[in-house]
Amino acid sequence: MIAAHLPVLVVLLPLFGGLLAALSRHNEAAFWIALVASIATLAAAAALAGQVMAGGPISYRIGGWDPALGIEYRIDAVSAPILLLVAAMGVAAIVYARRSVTVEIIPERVAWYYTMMLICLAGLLGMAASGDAFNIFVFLEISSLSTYTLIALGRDRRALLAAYQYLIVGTIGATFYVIGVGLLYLSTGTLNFGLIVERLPEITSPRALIAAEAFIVVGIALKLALFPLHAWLPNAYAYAPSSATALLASTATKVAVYLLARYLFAVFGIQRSVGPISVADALMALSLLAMFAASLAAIFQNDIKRLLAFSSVAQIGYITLGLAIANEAGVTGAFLHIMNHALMKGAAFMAIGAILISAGSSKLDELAGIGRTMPVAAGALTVAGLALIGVPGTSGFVSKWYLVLGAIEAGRLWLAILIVASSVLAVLYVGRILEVIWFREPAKRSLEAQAVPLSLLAPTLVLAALTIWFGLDAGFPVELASSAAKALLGVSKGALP
Amino acid sequence: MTDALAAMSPAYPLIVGSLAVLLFRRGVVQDALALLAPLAALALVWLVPEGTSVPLQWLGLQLHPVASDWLARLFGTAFALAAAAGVLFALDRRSTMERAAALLYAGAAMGVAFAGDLATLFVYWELMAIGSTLVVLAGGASQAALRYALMHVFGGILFFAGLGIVAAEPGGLALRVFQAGSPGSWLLLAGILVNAGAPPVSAWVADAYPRASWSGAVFLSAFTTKAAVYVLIRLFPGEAVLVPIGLFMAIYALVYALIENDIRRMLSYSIVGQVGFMLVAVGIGSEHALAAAAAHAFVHILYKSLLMMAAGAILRATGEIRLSALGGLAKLMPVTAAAMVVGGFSLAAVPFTAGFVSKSAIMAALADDHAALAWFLLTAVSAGSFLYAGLRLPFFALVNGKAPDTVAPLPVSMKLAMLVMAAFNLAIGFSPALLARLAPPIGAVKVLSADHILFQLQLIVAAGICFGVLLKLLAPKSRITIDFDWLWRELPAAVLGRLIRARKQLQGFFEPVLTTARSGIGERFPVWAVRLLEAGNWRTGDIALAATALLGLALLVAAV
Amino acid sequence: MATPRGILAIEPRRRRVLAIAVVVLLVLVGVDFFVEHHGAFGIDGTPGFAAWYGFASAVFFVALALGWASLAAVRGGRRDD
Repeated sequence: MIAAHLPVLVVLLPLFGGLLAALSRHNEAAFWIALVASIATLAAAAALAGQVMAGGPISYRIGGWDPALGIEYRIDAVSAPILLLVAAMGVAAIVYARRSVTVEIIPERVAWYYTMMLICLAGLLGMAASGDAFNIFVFLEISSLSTYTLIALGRDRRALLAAYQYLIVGTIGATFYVIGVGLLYLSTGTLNFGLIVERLPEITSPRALIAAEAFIVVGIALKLALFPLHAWLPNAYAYAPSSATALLASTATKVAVYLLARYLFAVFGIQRSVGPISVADALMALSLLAMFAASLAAIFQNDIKRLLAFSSVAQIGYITLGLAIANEAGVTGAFLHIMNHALMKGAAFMAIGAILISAGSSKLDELAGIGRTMPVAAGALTVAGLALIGVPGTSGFVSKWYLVLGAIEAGRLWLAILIVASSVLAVLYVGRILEVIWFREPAKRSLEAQAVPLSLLAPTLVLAALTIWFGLDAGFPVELASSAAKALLGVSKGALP
Repeated sequence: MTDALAAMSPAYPLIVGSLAVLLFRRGVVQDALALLAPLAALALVWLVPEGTSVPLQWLGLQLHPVASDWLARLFGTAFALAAAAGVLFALDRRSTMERAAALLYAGAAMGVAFAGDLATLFVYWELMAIGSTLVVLAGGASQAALRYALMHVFGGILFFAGLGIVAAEPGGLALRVFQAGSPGSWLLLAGILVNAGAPPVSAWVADAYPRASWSGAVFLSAFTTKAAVYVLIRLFPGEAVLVPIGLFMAIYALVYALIENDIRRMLSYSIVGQVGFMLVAVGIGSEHALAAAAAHAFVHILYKSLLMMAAGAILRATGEIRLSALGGLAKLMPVTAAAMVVGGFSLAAVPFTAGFVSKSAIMAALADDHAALAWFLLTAVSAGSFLYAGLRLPFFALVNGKAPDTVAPLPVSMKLAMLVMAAFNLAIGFSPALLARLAPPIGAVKVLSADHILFQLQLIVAAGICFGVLLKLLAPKSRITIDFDWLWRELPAAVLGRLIRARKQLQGFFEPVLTTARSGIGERFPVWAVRLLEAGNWRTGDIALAATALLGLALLVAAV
Repeated sequence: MATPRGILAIEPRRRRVLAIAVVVLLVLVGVDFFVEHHGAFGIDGTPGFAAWYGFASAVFFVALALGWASLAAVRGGRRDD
């Protein structure tokens, strides 16, 4: 009975959880509501993933309406891993939030904070679950609006500015997206993905379609911080509360990437050329720029949170690069990196968050020798850093391995070399952190660091451990990613010439 | 039973031992575990049947974690012996971190020797870098450890890049012979050569090893460079470019060893030189030459461990390691003195030491191949090696100069370790067949023949006369000589300083021009370049502009 | 007796050791005339080759090393030790 409604429950659970948390107006109660709701969501997502892996795509019609008129939720091999990832990261971030909010959020707002986290989760999960282009826009807005709030709740005054900037940029992105959806509706007369794909071959004038593609892709690119539309991200991540940063960095951009993959592969066709250049080539160029320019920028940051944020832009470059390579190994690499990067960056932001809470700073030059006083947090940060480089034995290696494999299979040796070369930049920025936190004599702040409560460390360590685990035994994530890749590429062949 | 054994890499006992050491407090149990691990590994080296283990599937790759043949067993035996003797020597060193790191390091080297495919090899290769860095770090020199780590990260990246490229070839991840020709094989070769201490990065050896603790250097001297030689024998036998590289290393190292004051730095340079001998032999590439290179690596591990032990013992007993500050230790530290002489003589290939056997094998292989230049140069270097290892080092440390009044007593374990290693050196020296059993192809070389012994004795006595005459010139002096590490330790700072000064000068020169240009063109150009990197300080309007521009561009292109 | 000066001024004990070494070398070269050689390059099979070649190489490398030391010596310690 419940199993049949899982596709919608996975969205409704956090949504109503958020509502309850808001009504409770009580910090402690809000936390427990958030925890229960997020764990229930995770269970639902896991059950969905299990069903999809066993029995193929699940279609759920809201209110029983036909997809042509109503809204269809569609969970398949592509969206199932995303749902699982977002739900899991939601649990981790909420567990982490319990202690971090006491330091970072004004007490009266803590309940709202949990509300916003849950609603953000609902929006993100909705984007992944829905098979309706306009419904996705609604969820996009839900997640965005809650995200603005989450960022703005940061104690630093610059958080307000960052949130404001993200608000403007996010709104532009959403507007572009909805214009694109409108154009798509004009040409096909439907908002349902499945029906759009069915009707595309009948369209005589591709002009409107190309315009729709441009609007939608640029709109999503803003959300996923594709270079050079990434400028909102560093400040937003740097000044948001630690648990919000961990949540956003590991889920928000990832869902946007998922959406991009959906549109590019299932709807528009990745190899389609717009004028003289194909979408894939343009995406590849921007991805490479992101990998190098953002990594370079990361090297020169002093605030570790900002450094990690720039690194996120670069790592998103790897993911979109995998999509642009557009063969099975490449897309598998992209989806693997979506998951692996979420885990490692979640661990990294949680670790630096713990350090920020204990030592009162996330500035590199003030954290000399913090590894001696906070070995556990610094150790988690180290594991995450090594994974960012792609050291074998960490999950980062596995995803880069598939990307390199994809590049070589596509006959682009130079691309494989560039992927490895950009890792050198990661060595530099991670190396800087490691050198300062482990090898320098402890600075004043490091010596005065408070003990970190277990509830901060536990989720951090779980993510770090998963980063190692999936580096050693990559079977589970690879299975998820490769079935996602197969599903995307399978659809892609039939979509457009 | 055999199947289970076939899947057991001799690396496992060492790695497990490394972890187990961390679990126990300092004491008898931990000591026993640390000693047992290398011995268990040694047993496995010979118990694992020859051939390749059942493949393991990982990420769609076929991995062969264990593959054994005579070459793997030779290196495995050497690594296990070095680890066992090293642990024995370091038995009363109060550093669990160093002990665990050393076992990990030895295990990784062992894993390299028994790796059956490139991916497994690479994993152990990197593990070796981590283990050795921790050993250096345990000596307390964090800056040197950092430089060491960076150097190995660099080598690892080269190796990995090469690996990625060659993995796409039809051979996949199989261990096979490469020709340095394609970018993939060049990168692979470069990555291995970094670990072998080849130019232009040779200086890392003499930079890092002498900064380890008195016991750490013993471990360091045994594994990394020899594992690199092993991999070269596997992947690049007969690669012609190795001959000039090896010759250069032999000569370079001799020059630095002759003028070095710090005993352990001298021995580190000597490692580079001896690896040079091995590289030349690998470059020659005949079956006999490859076996000679392997045999020399084996013997080198024996005598270099012994010498590093002697140096460590001196450092421990006197707190001093500079030749210029030492002297007259022969009477005070007889065991150490004997160890140093046996090790030095073995290094210099004095007859009836192990070094004589393996170096004769190399020279015979060169002669068979009619590699005249290499033969004459290496013979000359051999004579020079006796100068520093057989004469200068023992003379100034043990004989010449004023002995200290007292030295700290050495524990039995250290003496025992040195005696065992010295015994190995002499045993092989008197019975070359022992070595030939490990490396069958060198069995044909008649080492202990009259003309051969005479030849070497003349070489040595002649070099000795030279030493006697030029004694004062070779007296140790405290000095620092520029080495390759100037490239990465001084040059960047110098260039940076120069650039900053140049920038200031240029600014002074161009400032007026720029100011007018800026007001003329408007400020946007340079600002954009900076902005693109320094995102986060973009104005919201700029982001919107970028998005609109991208959209406009897409639409424009589409409209064309 | 004047104290020895310069690098070639040799104190008596060292002179004795050197003399013994020279005698040993002469004996070795002498014996070398009576054993069978297996030289691979011609010259290396001649009696006494190792003696003069060893001496020449040793002198050459000492000269090379000291020459390099005087050229490339730097004063003071290293920046980042």
